[in-house]
Amino acid sequence: MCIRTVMTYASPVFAHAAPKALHRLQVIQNKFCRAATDAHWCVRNSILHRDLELPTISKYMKDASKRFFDIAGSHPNALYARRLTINRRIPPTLSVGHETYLPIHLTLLQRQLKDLMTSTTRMTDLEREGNRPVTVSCDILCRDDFHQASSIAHVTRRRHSHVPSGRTRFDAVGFSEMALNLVVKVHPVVLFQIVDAYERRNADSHRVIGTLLRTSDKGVVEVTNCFCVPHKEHEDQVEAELNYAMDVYELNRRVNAMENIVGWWATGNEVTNHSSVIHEYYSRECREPVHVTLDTSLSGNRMGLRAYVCVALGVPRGKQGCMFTPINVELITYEPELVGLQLCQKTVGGGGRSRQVQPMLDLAQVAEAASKLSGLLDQVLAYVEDVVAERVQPDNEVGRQLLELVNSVPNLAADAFADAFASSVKDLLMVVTLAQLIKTQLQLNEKLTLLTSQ
Amino acid sequence: MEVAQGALLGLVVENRLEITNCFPFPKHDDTMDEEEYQLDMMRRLRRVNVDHFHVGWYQSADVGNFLSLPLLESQYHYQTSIEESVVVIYDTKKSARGFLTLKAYRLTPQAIAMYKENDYTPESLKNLKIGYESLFIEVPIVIRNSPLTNIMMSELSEMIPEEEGCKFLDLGTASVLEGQLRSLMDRVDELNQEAIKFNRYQLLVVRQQQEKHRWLLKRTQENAARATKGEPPLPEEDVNKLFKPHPVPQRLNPMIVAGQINTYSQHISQFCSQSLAKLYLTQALQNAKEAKQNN
Repeated sequence: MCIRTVMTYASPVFAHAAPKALHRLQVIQNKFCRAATDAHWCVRNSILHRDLELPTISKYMKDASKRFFDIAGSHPNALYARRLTINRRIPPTLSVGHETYLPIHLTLLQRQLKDLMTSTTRMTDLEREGNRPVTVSCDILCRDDFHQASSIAHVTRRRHSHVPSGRTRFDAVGFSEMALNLVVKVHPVVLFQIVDAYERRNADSHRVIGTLLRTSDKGVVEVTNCFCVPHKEHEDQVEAELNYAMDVYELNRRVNAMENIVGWWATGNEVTNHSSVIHEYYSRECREPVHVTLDTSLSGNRMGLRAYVCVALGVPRGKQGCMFTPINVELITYEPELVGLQLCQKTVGGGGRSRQVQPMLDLAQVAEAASKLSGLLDQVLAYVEDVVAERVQPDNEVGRQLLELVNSVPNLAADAFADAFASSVKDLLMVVTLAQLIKTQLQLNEKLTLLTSQ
Repeated sequence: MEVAQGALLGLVVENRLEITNCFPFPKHDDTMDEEEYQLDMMRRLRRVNVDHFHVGWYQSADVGNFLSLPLLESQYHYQTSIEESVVVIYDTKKSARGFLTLKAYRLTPQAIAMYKENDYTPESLKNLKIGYESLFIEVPIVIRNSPLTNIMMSELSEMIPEEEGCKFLDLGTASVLEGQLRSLMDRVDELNQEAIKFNRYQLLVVRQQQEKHRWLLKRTQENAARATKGEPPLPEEDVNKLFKPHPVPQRLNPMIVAGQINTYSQHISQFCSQSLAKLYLTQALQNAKEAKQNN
């Protein structure tokens, strides 16, 4: 059978080639069997295989790959037995690459799975389409257990219990609906802290990670605080100071007992090979951790903010992997936070230069708002003029909004307004006078007190 | 009222104090050691390259009520152990209305001397030339951001709707003004009590002086009479035994209250001026509308 050894060489890699291609190999094997036994033409191939106790190509390849991956899973080789500093084994991986993790690119698959979860009609579509192969690419990182999968994978439902040779099914095991509809709401202070932590990173590190804190409610994760966790990344391992993370978390709990770990953050624009290891740690600290990345390296000239959840995937009864799925991320602010942010935004000077700002006096702030308002009104006026002069294509939606705006100005009778205005102004002026009077009295009081005592 | 407090971390560069980080203090609780917590926290922050010099502390406040004896005490201890320390006061209520209020204060040298001597009699205050206005000195605050932070903020500005954060244009004045005036009145009452106390003391002192004088007069007459009789004169030193000096009222509390009233009235004038500005804005709007209707 030395020919077959050649024929199925490296079958774990090509086993998921199209059935048609594999069929050709089967034809060759059939011919050899027929020649070897000198069988009559009317003897069926299946009989030949049975009598020769020879498995078909597909059966053979399936067994071979099963054996292969079982060995790979428990291989003592150091390559597979890499350790994290907390003595946790990084699960072994396929030896195709030399990296610990095999990134698999799965957008389409992920989209399909998402649809599968959210709409039942789509589910039936999928069922009808059966084992339609799905090509998958980008964005998602699959860890180890997808050796059997590569660029082609099949979406099937769980009740198919057998694994076709060389094919892997992705199961929607940990794919709860909540995980994908999750919205991450981030407070600006968290982002400030992340940027600060990145600017204060060690000279030799390119990435900074840390813990996100806050309660996670149903469907919404509101991130109100975070801290940085020192870590080092090497080619093949991650050293995170998890004791440090625990200590800071405990310290923070003394002040804010409400804040819990909800996930972790990292700088950079992508989920890297090491992310899943760190994520695994955080999934022990809280249920369904979220992962937020802030692109401080400014790739694409933007500072992208993204959030992911990790979705477990895997072969039934086999190993489990996970995939980072992007979820919605929003900015949320308390009212005072917004006020502070608006002031801080003034440090963005013209031409991208930064400058200093001082907290403004109340009156200055109102004056500024007034000039901004008049600027906006000018803009609206210019637009209206242009539309009237037919220089600009009118937009019905804008027109409706403008009408609403005009109508929203309260329609006060002239004398009623004058009355209200006068009384308010009088009140305020009175209060100002009294306040000044009190100040004078204070000074007088102090001077007299010091004067009378010899 | 419960206040939030915390430590400020940073460093002194040339003639300015840069505050680059902070962390909150736990709520007062006997079960844990606050000092240890602070040290722990600072050690942890140092590990991630945060400036670990303690340069002051912050506290939340409502208008003028931050000025108090505990604040004076804490700031005294800060400033005597860490020379450059400041206290940053953040006004929660006013910021919630849309006006960010952040102020940094330091004790004046006179105030430190006063606290050190622990003598608050009018006389020593006079010698130190200290009054409610010279207790604290306000340090101007400037906000600076790194270029990377600015980039992040321009990113953020796209995520915030344009119309948000205009709450400070709210025309309603009654509730805020009422609250502030009420607090102001409370403080004025308190100061009034102190003034009455002081007046009573002065009255007592004057009366005592008169009595003393009378007694001395009487004693001199008596002595003169005794001298004619050839008896030894009675000692005049008894006067100090008979008339013990009245305790001098401490002036620290009135000074603090006066400081509070001062800040309240400042805030109220500011509030009124911006309210007037808003009213005139509305008037302009109304006038424009009327002019249009008349046409």
